[in-house]
Amino acid sequence: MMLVAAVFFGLMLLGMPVGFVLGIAGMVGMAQIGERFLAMGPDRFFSGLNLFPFLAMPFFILAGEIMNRTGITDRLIGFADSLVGYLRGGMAHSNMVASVVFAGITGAATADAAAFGNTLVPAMVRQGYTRPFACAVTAAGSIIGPTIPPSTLMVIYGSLMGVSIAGLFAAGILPGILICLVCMAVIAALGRKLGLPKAEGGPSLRHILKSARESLLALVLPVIILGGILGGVTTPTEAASIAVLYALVVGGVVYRKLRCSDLVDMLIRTSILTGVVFLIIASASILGWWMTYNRIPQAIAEGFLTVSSNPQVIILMILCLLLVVGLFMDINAALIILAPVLAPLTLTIGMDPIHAGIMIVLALNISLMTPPVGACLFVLASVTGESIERISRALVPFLVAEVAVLFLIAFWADLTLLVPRLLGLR
Amino acid sequence: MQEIAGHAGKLAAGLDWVVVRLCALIAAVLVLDVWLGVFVRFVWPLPITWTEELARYLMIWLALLAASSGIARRAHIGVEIVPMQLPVEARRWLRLALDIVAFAFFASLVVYGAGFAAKGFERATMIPGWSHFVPFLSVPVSALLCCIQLVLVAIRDLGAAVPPADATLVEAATGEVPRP
Repeated sequence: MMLVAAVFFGLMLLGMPVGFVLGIAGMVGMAQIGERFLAMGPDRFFSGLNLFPFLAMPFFILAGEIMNRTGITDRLIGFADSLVGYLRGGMAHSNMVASVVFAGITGAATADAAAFGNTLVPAMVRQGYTRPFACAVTAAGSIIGPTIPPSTLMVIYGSLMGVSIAGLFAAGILPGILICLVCMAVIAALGRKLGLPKAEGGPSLRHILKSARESLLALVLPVIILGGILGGVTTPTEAASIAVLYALVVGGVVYRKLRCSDLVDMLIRTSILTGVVFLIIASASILGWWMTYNRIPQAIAEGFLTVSSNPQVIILMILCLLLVVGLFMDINAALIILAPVLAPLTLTIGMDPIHAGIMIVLALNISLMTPPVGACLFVLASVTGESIERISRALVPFLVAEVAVLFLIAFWADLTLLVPRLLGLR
Repeated sequence: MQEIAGHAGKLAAGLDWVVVRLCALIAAVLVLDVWLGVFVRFVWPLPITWTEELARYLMIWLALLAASSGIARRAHIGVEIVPMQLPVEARRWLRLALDIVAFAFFASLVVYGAGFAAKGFERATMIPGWSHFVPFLSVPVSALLCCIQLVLVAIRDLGAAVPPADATLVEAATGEVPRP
């Protein structure tokens, strides 16, 4: 066991790709049990991917690619700006609202951070916001993406742990909106102190209706995706494939901003991103088998229960573990490794599987914006040229607010389970 | 060495060019297959029962083939904090050592994967004319491609002025990793 741990942490520290480390550590573990077990490696590698719900991921990636390429994203930002742009710190508020709308289409925080880092951050800087603050707002809003459905992390969690993906999607809606509202409250609170800009004039119904009309076709997409899945009509994969078809029709036929060569480019980018994520999943499946064989999830669960049998204390320990692991590990890998360990523990203390899933996913989402390896931080620093240190400092109030939301969600199950119950998914 | 590295780089890029286009083709067929599944489920019920299974196998072929392309582009995500602190020469040899370890991993998947694929002959799928050999073959074939790419990029990067790191989380997230 020590050898596998040494291989895992040693190679990770030396910079070997996570997808390789997981497979190598798993194969070393299998060889330790007995050489004949190595023959199971390819079987686990294949079986780790052989799940229909995983198909939703490449489709959502492709739909997001099409939306960005055809300007659909810009129309959504325009609509959000018409709703809240008149407030003090209006563009920061617009950034948050746009994150919610965008979240209903794509499932990846980094896609949100990259798209908004290119468009909204420069616009905010031109209007008088400091660049670190503009980046911090974008980073804080970007984690709404994988919290509000569709969410690739929820697809992975639901597929691996046998939890209803539709239920998880429904349960993510309120936490996502809550994060948006809390961050908007932070912006409002900082508004006067930081002297955030305020646009001339007040709210205009005419402006709202005009931008709603311009972005109507884009706004229908979240309704199609979520309506289909939450209504129990389509599977997440089917909904994602319909989203691709819809985005192709709107971007290509209606907006006429899509060429055949663009399509090949997008398919190639989607393939490579899929390959990177799926190699992590396939390799983690090898290590996962070894962990199960050695009853490591049970050992960790017993370790937690030895410290305390109080459910609140165990939830607290789980949250701390996830936030600390998220500081140093890619969140897909962290989810695949930790979910099978933590999910049985949450069941032992009587947590609802959907509630536990949302808590785990949200905790890992928050680590997307914490240094040293927070992906959204790196995306924004790379796209805008701002330093990670300055963005991190500006991010502190948002981080505190979002961790507070995480704790609220973790300790108040009804908040998460309200929507699934209303929709009959719980 | 520079000349050999140049040739290896060209070979890696050429192989990658073919693989990514094959992936794009598989992705296109995958999209059409899932659309067909939606069509026969919601619009026109036809006695087609294999769309879901075919979609899973196409996805696996797509993802595993693309993994080799990720190697050619150094697009797989690693935590590069420690390597970036090392001097260029040390980083070059560390990169080579890691490539050798990764090669051993994928080579084991080729060796054991061949036996795994052969077992697939004994099991039929719901797709007419397909045994499980076709989907199972994705493991050894893609692992072999990964091995070839690892050798080529290791030689390519040994000759580079500065050894390239693996993708950062940013590049992987934004897809901005067209390195070679």
